[in-house]
Amino acid sequence: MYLYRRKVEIMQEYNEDIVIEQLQNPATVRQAFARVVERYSQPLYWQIRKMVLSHDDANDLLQNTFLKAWGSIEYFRGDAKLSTWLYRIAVNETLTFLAKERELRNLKADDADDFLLLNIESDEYFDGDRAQRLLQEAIVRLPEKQRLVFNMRYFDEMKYEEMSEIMGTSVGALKASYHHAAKKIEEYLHEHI
Amino acid sequence: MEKKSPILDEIGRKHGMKVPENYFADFTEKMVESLPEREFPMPEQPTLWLRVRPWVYMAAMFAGVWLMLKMFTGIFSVEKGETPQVEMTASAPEEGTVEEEWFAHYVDDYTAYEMLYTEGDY
Repeated sequence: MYLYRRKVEIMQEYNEDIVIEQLQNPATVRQAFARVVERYSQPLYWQIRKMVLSHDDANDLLQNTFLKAWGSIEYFRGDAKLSTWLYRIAVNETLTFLAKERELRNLKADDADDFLLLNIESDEYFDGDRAQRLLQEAIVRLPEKQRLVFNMRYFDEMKYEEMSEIMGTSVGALKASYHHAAKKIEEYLHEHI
Repeated sequence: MEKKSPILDEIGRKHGMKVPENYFADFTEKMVESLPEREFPMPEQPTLWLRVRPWVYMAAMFAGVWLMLKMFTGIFSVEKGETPQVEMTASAPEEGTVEEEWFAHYVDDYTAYEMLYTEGDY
């Protein structure tokens, strides 16, 4: 109840236009950035977490995302939405992290990121049932970009237009990607449930 | 319209992942504290040129349009048969010059004497 009330308070207080204006003023940038962290830490965290599955990795990547944003805040001129800009940074951080993890394990870019399943099994912050675990197994077997698209669309119900801005891919390609991902996941679930 | 998937509908949109208690509230606090101090450049005052530039460009554009109109209206009036106001550069030769030139270049001695006899000067 407290969290819901807090969320409502943030939504009421937060005015993106004012915050963007404050971000461009050296006198108010720090205070405005604190509001950005407060506003976007949850959606960005879940976006990252669903890709890396481990809470600790997601926490590190979220911190890196905000540090990168803080380091280049003067280059944000309000041409794109603030959320799009932050999502882009988060997605880049996540993909770079996954690429490094694959390199450590001598895996190719197209190989399934099965190693991530170990994160779920050992993560104390996962209490999903068997079906939810199977769903995560199916998602992990998807190519990286399809995984990203599926997570954004299926769990967050993000609009294709917004996804297109974040990922720099056409809406048509994203729809096709989601369709392929959903089909593969269904097949995997039918086989294993 | 996306096709409905019964098996995905059955599982639902919950992913089963959770976070430590008060994670997001604590994260914001810690994150803001850990932000390094930064010096931000003060926004630069626009120079005089930057301020007048749009007006200069607009004036140049209008001047270009005016010149083009001037040029095209000149061309069209010539096509209609109106005489363009072009300054005459040729001048009429002095009296006798053409005849002397013709004599010097095109008339041989025999023809010249013949002409003289015909005119009865000799």
